[in-house]
Amino acid sequence: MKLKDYKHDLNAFVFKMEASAKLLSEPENLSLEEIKLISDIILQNTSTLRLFFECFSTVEKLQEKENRAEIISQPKFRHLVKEVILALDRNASVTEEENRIIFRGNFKTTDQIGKFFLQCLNYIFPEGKINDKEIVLIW
Amino acid sequence: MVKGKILIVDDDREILQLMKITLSKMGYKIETETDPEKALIRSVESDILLVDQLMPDMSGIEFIEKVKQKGLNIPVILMTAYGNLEDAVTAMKKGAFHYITKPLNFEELDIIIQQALEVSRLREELNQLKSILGTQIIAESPQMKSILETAKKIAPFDTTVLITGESGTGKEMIARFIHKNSLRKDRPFVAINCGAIPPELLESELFGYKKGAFTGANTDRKGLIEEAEGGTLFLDEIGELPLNLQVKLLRVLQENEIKPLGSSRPKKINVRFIAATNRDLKKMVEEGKFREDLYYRINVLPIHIPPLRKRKEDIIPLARFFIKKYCSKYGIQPKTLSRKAIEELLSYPFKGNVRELENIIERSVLIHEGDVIEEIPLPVSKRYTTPQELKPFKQAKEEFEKNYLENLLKQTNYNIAQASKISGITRAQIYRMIKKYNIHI
Repeated sequence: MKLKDYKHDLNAFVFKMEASAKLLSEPENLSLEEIKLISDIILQNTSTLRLFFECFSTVEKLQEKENRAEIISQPKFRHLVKEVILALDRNASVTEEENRIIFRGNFKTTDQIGKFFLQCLNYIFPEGKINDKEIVLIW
Repeated sequence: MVKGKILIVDDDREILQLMKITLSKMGYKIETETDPEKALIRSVESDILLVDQLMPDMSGIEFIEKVKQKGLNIPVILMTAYGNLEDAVTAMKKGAFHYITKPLNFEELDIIIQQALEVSRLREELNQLKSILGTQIIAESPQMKSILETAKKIAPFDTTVLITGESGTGKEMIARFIHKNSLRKDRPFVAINCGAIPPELLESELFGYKKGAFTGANTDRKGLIEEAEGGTLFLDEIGELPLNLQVKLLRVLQENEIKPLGSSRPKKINVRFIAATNRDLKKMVEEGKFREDLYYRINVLPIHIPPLRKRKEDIIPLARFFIKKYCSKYGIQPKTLSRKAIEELLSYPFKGNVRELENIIERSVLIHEGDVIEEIPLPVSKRYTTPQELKPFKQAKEEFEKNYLENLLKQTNYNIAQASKISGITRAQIYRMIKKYNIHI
């Protein structure tokens, strides 16, 4: 996984943030609805960017041979996984079982970051099952 | 005032939302679309297309190719990733107006859009001027394109042409087109409506007269045939020509000479004849109302112009052309057609053909004050479809399919996925049918 593989989507993030900031710099020209929409876009993008970097660094840690069991057993990691799933499908459902979590939803994605998230999950949970409708992760 | 209508095509909804807000503040009317196939269908309503290169179902370059294949003359600006010069060069080769790299600089984009609008405006002005000069005909339908091709092919030959078609279909336009594409283009084009001149005056109008030929003939006067010397004489409504003049005209066509009234000496002429009629000349021949020999003499190269209701693809381009013409004539700001107005025009039978469409549009331009013509002032009594004729099965089936699809799309508010669900027809098939029947959505 290399950052340059996600250049298109990262550029899109930069563009969206920059365009949003420019628009918000003259709020008198915007309606309340537009301001709300732009704020949502900023929040959504910052959240996705944060997730992207967190996933990226987790994969890096694993590649550097850090203890997988230790990483995935941390509560914050479980939270991160849930956030990633929700970034793929806001309406995904979650079923937690003893050593596995099952997510159901629409996980079909065409953008680079979406594909990256799926690749990360695949890498971190090699025994799991990932398809367009279901993601099963085994702890 | 709206600077121009832009359709932005990108698979990223957030980018579309931000671009819409930003460019709207700059004075543009923005439409957005995430599905390139749908965008292709919607593109006819736009002044400019702004398209992303990297989309999952179709690349921006493929989109440009399809726009060109559709014969649309709308400037396309491609949005490419920073540093991807290769895509930019390919896009320009494929006919893109310009490219802009991402992340976008809106000031730069504004300049490019304005340039594109200016080029678009100049192109339209040129088309309008060409039309005023009588050389341009709005032809989007396959029937009219084929007619123009035929007309172009036969233009250089001096053969007589018979143009048939209902009143108002543009027979004189085709005659002028043939003249402008012939070797006679720098010589006069003279038109006469045989049905508009009283029969007793028609002979002197056509053949001219010598001084003293009849009471009031104080000087020699050239007839219209002679006026057209070296050029083309267009005999409109030839079916109205009295039988006695039909004989005389036949002689002119056979001998290439005329004899003005009161003259005993024939005069050689060099004129190409193009005749037109909205009547069934063959039937008139059978009824003895039109000379058979003249019929065969003028019917060397026949061209039939179908009524406007049978070539619906021409309705909206013609309407847009007339809007520009009358906005410019009356000094009114340019107007566009709403979707409702487009639907109204497409479902109207236009018994008076292009002439009726032009009148309706002139009225619409004057009545509507805003930028958009929301509704077309059509006569209520005429909002019906033409009576059913017994047609070949294939044609009837195609007409049914087209009507069905139009209603289906209307009822689903042009949502292809929903239309597919209701009809049981796959989305791909719906798109194919939209393309086949050239449905504007």
